[in-house]
Amino acid sequence: MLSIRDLTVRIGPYQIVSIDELHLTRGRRLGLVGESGSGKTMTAMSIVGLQPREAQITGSITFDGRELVGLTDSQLAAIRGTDIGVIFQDPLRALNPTMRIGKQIGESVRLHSDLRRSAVNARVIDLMTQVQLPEPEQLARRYPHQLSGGQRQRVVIAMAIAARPKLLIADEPTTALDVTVQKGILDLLAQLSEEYEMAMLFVSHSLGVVRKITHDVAVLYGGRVVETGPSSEIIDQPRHRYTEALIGANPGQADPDAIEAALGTPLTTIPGSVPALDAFPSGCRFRDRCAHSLDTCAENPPVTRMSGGHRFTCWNPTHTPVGGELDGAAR
Amino acid sequence: MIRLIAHRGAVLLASAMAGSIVVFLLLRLLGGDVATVIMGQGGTPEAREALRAELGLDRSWLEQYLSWIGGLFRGDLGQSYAAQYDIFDEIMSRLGLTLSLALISLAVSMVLGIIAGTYSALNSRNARGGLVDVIAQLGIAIPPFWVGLLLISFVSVQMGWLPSGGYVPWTESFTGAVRSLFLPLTALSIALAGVFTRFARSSMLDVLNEDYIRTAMAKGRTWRRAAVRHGVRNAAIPLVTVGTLQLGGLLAGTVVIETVFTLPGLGRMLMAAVTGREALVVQSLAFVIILVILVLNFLMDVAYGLLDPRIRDAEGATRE
Repeated sequence: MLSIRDLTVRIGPYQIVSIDELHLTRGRRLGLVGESGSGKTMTAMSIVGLQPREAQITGSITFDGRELVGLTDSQLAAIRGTDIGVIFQDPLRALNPTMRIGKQIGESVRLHSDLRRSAVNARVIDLMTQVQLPEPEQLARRYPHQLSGGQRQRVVIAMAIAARPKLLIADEPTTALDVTVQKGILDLLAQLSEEYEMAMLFVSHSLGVVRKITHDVAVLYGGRVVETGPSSEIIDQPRHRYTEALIGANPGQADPDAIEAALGTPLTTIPGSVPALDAFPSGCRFRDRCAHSLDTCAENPPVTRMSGGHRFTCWNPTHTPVGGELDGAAR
Repeated sequence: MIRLIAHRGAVLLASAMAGSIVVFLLLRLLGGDVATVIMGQGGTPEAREALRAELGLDRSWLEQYLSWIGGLFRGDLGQSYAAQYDIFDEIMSRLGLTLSLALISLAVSMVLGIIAGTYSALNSRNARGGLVDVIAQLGIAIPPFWVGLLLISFVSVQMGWLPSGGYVPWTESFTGAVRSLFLPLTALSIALAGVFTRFARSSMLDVLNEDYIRTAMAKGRTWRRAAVRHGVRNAAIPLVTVGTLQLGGLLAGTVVIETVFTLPGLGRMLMAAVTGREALVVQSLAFVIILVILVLNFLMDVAYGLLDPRIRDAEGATRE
C-alpha cells in the first residue's frame, strides 16, 4: 500500500533522510525506530507533505499506486485526512489553543463530508466516544489547556480518524505523555487499527513500545534504514550492530518482563552521540560509535536479505543464528 | 470572563483615582496664583482675595479635590475664566471627535495591519511579501502631520474632493462626519497601520511554525488555508499589547492632526488652555485624556480575554 524507494530529504546542504526502500502493506503496523536526529519523524512527515517548508524531497513514495512525491500542497491536502491521518508527538502544541475542542474535531469532519451543522456535531460526539473521552458533550466545549495530556492526545486521534483513513501516521504519540497514560493511548491505537483495518506507521524511539504495537520495524540511523523486518525477530535477534547497541541501551524496554532481570546488570550505552548532519563518516554511518567496526566498514555496507523480509546493512553483523548463513544474496 | 472584566474594571477605577490625584497635585505643586493670572498685575489684593474665594481656591486642598471630583460626576467643572465657556460641556462636545479619531484609526489600522501582515508573512519567500514590508516601514517613517498637509494640498485644494478641515458631528450627518474625518483618519492611520503590519508579520511568522498549523494541514487543509484559519486569531493576540502601547502616541497624534485639519477636538482645547494658562481647564482635560487612555486600555484587556481563553482562565482561575 505504501512504498518508499530511493527517498532523500534535504534541508539546505544536508541530507536528512536517505532511504533505499521501505514498504507497508494494508492493515499492517510498521515501526520506525531510532535516536533523536535519525530522520524518523522527517521520513514520516515527508509522506504527506508535512515536512518543514524548506525541505526538498526526491525519490518515490507511492500510496495505493499513486506517486506522492512532486504533488502540490493542494493535491496532498486532498489525501491528508482522507486517506492518510496523522497523530503528533505533543498534543498540547498540536491543538489550536484558541479554538474549542469540538470545533477542532468538527473541522476534520466537515473537511471530509458535507454534513449539516447538527450532523457534524453528532459525528464529533461519536468520534469522541470512539476514542473513549468521558462526557464528550462537555469536553467538546472546552479549550485544549483545560484537558489532560491523555485527553488531548485522544482528541488528536479523533481528528485523525474522522474520515477513516487507510493509513495512520503516528509520530511518537506517547512520548510527551505520562507513563501511566501511555498504555491507554497505545491500546486505543492498536484497537482502532484493528477495528478500521487501518495500516499504521508508528514512529518511536522506544523499542518496547514498538514491539508491543507493531508487526514490523525499521531501525533508522543517520537517515538510513540499517535493519528492517518483523518486530519480534529484530528485537530478539538483532543482526545490525546498531540495533544490538540500541537494545542494549534500553534494558527492559525491549521486553517489559525483562526489567527485573536487567536490574543489577550494567547498563550499556552507545558511546558518543549522533553526529552533526555533515559529520557522518563514509561507508557505514555508525562505524565511529560501533564497538565492532572493521576496516571494511569505511566502504558502503552490503544489504543482506533474509527470509521473512528481514534485511540489514552491516559488514560485521552479530553471530548468525543456527540454520545457515545468508538467506538472501548480498547485493 | 466576568471575573476578568470585574478585575480589570477594579484596576481601571484604582488607576483613574490615582491619576486624578496626580493631576490635581501636580498643578498645585507648580505654584503660581490663578487669581493673579486672571486679573493681571492691576488687581487690588482685596479683589484677588475675593476672586480666590469665588473660585474656591481659599479652601484646603482636600476640599478642592473633592469638589473637583464631585463636579466631574455632576457635570459641573466651572467656567473657563478667559474664554467664558462651561468646561464640562465643552469637553463633552469635543470628546466625540477625539474619540472618533482615536478609536477609528486604531481599529482601521489594526485590521489593515493584520491583513497586510498576514499577506506579507505568507509570502515571505517572494518579492510581494517583501514589498509589503517595505511599504509598511515607509509608512512608519512618514510623520502624520506631513501626510496631513499633503492630503490637504492634493485631495482638498487641488481636487476639491473632500473638505480640508472642520468637523460635522455624527449626530448631524453620517456622510458629513465620514467626509470630514476621512483625511485626518488617513493621516493618523498610516503610521499606525505600518506598525501593526510589521508586528502582525512577525507574529504570523512565529505562528506559522506552530504545530497546530501542521495539524490543520493533516486534517486536509492546504498550508495557506491552515495558516489563515488557525493562524490569524493566534497571531492577533500579541497585537493587542502593541495596540495598548500605541495608545499614548495615538492621542498625542490626534492633537497634531486636529491642529492640521482645524478640528474642534480635545487636543486643540488643551493647546489653547495651556497657552492661555487656564489651570482648571488643563487639570480637567488632562484627567479626561487619562481616563480615555485607561478606558481604551481596559477594552484592550477585555479583547485579550476574548481572543485567548487561557488568559480568561488564568485571570479567573475558573478551571474546574
